[in-house]
Amino acid sequence: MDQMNHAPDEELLSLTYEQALAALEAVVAKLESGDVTLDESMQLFRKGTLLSRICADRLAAIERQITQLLEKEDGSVEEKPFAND
Amino acid sequence: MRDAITVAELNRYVNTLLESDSQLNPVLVKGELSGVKAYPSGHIYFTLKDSAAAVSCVLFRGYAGRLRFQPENGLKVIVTAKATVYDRDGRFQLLVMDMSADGLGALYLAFEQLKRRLEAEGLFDPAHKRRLPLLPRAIGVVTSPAGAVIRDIIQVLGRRYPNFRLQLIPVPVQGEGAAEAIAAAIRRFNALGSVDVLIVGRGGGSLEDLWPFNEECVARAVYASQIPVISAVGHETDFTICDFAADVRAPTPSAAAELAMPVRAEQETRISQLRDQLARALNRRLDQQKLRLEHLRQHRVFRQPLERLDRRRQDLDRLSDALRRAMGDQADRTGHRLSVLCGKLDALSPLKVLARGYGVVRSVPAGRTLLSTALIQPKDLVDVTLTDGTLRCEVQQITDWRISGDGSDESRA
Repeated sequence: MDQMNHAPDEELLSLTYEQALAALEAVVAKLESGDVTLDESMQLFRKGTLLSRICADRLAAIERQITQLLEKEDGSVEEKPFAND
Repeated sequence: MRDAITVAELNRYVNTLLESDSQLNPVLVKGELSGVKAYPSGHIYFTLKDSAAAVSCVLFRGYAGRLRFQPENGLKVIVTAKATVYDRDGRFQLLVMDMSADGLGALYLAFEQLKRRLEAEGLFDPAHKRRLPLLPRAIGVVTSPAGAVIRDIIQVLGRRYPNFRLQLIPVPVQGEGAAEAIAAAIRRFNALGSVDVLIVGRGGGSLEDLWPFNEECVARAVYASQIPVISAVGHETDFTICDFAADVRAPTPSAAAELAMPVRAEQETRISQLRDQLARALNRRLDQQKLRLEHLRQHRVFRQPLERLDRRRQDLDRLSDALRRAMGDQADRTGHRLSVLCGKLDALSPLKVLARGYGVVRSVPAGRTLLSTALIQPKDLVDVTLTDGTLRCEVQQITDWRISGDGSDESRA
């Protein structure tokens, strides 16, 4: 987690939702522990804010899409919308 | 005649015989449960019987804990057991390792046999099971495109997470070729890598209907999947080989959808909670620092910076007074001594002597005070200093008062 604390922002941007959430939880826990300098606190807060934004982005990034994959005669796969009514 | 052996040796020997017989170790036996007795130790004792025979059985705690049902008197079961002779009383008994409900015929036996084989091979190993992702970017479903299962899944997903993404590979879920199609669909999703979690399943049905999910090829495809698999076959009470091989078994397709996707609102709440916690933690941190600073500021040094100085100044005043006092005493003592000395000096002053009529005679030009006439000749000049001035005089005559040999005065002129 310490490594993640020092990870540059670009690295954070590649985290999955789950990883970003775990990192955010760790940042909060660390900040709450109070075992950090004031400078580190500011750093942690900044990082945590970024992570929470990444989490929120990941949640919103999924677009509703329901498809079915059909195998064509030549063996290739075709993706078509799927409606089940 | 051979030597007699002990009873213990006899029982041990019979056990050796039983253990070496592959037909008995293990052996599947079907019968009816009677005299079921569960002990506080966790072991379960019972008799397995049919219309013509009975055999004692013991189900040790470790095995009993794995049963999916409670053994009850009258229940028809198939036990998987090891035949032994109990050393203490020489009674023949079965050490039961597994028990399943009978009445399902050959299919069930096949199920039990395949299950046992794959389990021994490690296909159900908990250590091999993958964790489900918290938020799959897309969910893959392997089931029939018709019917309630896919509809239920879509409904539940939509409730939990309106903007979910789902890919379906439609497959037949019963009958000839269904198992192969299911296995192929699982492999296809793995080849495409387009989804983060798989739901494989079908609705309830007879054991025959569910059978494709008990086929070895499905179990192996599930086991080999790099994508975590949720198995959702039939109803809550139906267990299939696919369930055992899957990373997670869901009792129903709807439950599978719940396992696959988080509730978006809950996640959002969690994030905003963390965000609040973050802000609170930082504020607390800042408050702590502020408090510390305030505390320092309250310190007397900062509160009244002049007080210290004033006190020092007071010290200084007090010290200079003392010094001055000490100096004054010293000066007084010195002054007194001086006046005494001055008095003495005054008394000795030649001026005082001159005032009484004496004069000091000095030679000219040497200016040497004359104490005797010896160095002076008539006509020499001398200076005579009186109390208020000096007389330059020429010596006209010298009278020597020194006692001569004849006692008479001698005058020079």
